[in-house]
Amino acid sequence: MYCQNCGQSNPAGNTQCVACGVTLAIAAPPPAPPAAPLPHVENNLVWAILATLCCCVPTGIVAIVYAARVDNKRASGDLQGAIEDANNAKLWSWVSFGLGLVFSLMYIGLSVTGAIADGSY
Amino acid sequence: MAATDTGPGRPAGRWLALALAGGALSAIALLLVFDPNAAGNPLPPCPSQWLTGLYCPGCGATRMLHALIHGDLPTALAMNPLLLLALPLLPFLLLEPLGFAPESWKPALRRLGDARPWAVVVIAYAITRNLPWWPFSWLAPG
Repeated sequence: MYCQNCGQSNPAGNTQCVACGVTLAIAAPPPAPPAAPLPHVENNLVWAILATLCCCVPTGIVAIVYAARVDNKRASGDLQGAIEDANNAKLWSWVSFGLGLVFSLMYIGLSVTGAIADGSY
Repeated sequence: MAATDTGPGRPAGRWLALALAGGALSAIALLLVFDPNAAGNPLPPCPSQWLTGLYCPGCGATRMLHALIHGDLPTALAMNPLLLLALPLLPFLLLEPLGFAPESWKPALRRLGDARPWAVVVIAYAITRNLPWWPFSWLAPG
């Protein structure tokens, strides 16, 4: 580094100038880059809730657990893992919607044809 | 990227919003025509309970919505208290995924949409609904 007093070049790590003896300004460590805010990762929670509460299939709970893992992993800085779990949450929500739809159509078909007499659920 | 699937102004969010509105209106229409409490109605029961005999978090949803549409709040609360309480929050949870969230609302919406507390509540609800003792028995439909 160069002495701020006389301009003499000094070996790195010296605390005093080899030419004029003045105390060398310790180079301030480069300021840490401001912590970039973690990008938001959509956790697909609302689809998981809709699938669980409206389709009544246990796979909806799997979707909600994946959604919770999204927020957990994002909070710990694991963005890649968060995005993978977000996709899993979405996948299991769709699986749940599909299962619910298939069941409902089957049930409606059976009840219309009279195969199921009691539908009081 | 998963984070920006349906950003503001993207057509996907608008189509999805239209589909959801259509689904909600169809559900209301069905519940005005059919009574899920009547024998032989074509409304499907809960598949989980039908197969396992256990109550799932969505059990009673049909009867809850039927009661709500007909203005019977006590029955709605008895059928599925969690869904009744969550119902007013769902439109807010939908805002950001559909791309309709104002920028200034996003911090609050994201706090509401943190899935961790929801997961705890829904799983606890799934378990406690099936416990036969008061006060848990109050969580079961009916």
